[in-house]
Amino acid sequence: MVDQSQVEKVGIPTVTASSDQFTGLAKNTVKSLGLPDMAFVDVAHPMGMISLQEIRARADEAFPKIVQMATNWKPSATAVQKITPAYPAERIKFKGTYEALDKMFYDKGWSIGLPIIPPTPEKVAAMLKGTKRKPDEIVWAVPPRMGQLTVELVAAYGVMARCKPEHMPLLLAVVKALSNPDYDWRGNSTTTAPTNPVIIINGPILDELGIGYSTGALGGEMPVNISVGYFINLVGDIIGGSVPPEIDKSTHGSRGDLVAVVIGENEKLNPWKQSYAVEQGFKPTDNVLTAYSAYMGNINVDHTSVKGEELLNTMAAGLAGAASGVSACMTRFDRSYAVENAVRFAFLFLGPEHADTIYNDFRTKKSASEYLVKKTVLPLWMYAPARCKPPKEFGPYDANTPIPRFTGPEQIRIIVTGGPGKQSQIWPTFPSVTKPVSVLIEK
Amino acid sequence: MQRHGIKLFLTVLIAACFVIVSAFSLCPDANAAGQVELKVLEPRAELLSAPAAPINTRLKTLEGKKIGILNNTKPGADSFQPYLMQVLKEAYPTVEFKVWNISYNDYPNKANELKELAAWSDGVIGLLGD
Repeated sequence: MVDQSQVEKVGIPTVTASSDQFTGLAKNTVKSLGLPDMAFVDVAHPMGMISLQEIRARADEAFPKIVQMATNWKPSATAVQKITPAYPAERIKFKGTYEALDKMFYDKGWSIGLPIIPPTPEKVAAMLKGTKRKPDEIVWAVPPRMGQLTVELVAAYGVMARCKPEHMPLLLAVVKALSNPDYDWRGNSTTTAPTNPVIIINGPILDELGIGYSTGALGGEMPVNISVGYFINLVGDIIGGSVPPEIDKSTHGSRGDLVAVVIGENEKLNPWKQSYAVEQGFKPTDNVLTAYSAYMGNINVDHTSVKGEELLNTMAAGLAGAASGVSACMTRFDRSYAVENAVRFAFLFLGPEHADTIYNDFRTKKSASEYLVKKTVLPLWMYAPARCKPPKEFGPYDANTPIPRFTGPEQIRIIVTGGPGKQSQIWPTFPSVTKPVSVLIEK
Repeated sequence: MQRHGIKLFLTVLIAACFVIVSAFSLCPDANAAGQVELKVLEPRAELLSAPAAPINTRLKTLEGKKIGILNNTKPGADSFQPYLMQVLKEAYPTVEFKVWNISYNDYPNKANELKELAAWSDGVIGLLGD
């Protein structure tokens, strides 16, 4: 809807025929863009991929409404939007039990289903001592609702998620990364896909704050990882308004909608020595986080391969099949979703034991990724036909021709994380414009 | 006797304590221990709203106009588009249609494509399918 609103803003009248399951999201979007009266015609969902008779019936039904909206419709009145300062956040008096307070927060849309720590002014003030940034600074207008996230509210959500004052630089860095256009928060927080914000952390801050990077790092009993992950979704859902079913359209959702994926790299057990952050140009002493949006991960459980190639072969099987259907063939990292609608890259979370096995035969991560590019192939018939059309230069092919998923090693990124065990995880990206965004965690 | 008296005294004392504690827990005021009175920040946040603008004046008629079709490239819109155009052409043979397939996601030439669409069109019908 951003596109239609741009056309409307340059003076061209528009009408949008919208799948009725998505009109609410579309109206919310144009309202946040300052055009609350844009014209819509609901079309029964789904608009396509049904019989031709059904499509024709939907078009016949929509047609007179489109004409009416294009020629005769007049909005009753342009909605007036109240604009009030974002800082300071309103203080509310409450009297009752903690259970009632928790219920009030949920009922008002101020929490997302897990208990919260009440953001009292005293606790928020204590959190603000963890940063030199001014509390009235607006650090992000969070799409799609475009709520203004101030430093004060970062502290408030930090309190609610059980973060500590020393986490403030980390929380502010998370916000900086997620608000980068390369992350595409709007697309990721409204799609039908089960997207998961993923935060990978490098640097001395791992041990300083006790961020999990070894056994069970993505599981429970990892208070910092969990609190930061919870913080992300509190901000996204409450300030960003990404709430199902009207705005967050994720067909099934995922647990990443509740507590985002936050993990440290196990730098001590990385046989390649260079951390992911160093590969991205940062110093080993820098504290860095990398954010990207992922489909749900799948796993590699290979207890038996003793050679790097053998292990990468079994990983290639999972990597080739991850996010099936949308995982178009022969993708390129530098081309957009609009061109290919493709999963353009994936992260491998290698367990340290798997990393050692691979390192024995692949002395650089790049060489391992290059090998995986060659091995992540599927026969053409396993790809969605509309999304996999090999170019002419590929040569002749038929339904059984092996077709690669990726075209370059930069699309397969490797970090070493977790504890003992022959386990690794594969986290492919959501196929929008999203790219990994790495930022310094500045104290 | 003296031992019996002490025993009786202790029994009465324990019973009295039990009654007092029970009464306290049943008394509404006693639940004050579970009550809190505090201030909290309202975390919803104000909107960064663009000032609301009116939409453009509608066309007087579709007859003889150039209508751009903005397809968001999702499969639903792809399927719906040819049939909608067919219905429109049947009703308005003088209307000129042109389709722009522009993904809702960003890509390098998108801004130019939107400019071309706006420059060519008298009105635009957007298709938002999934």
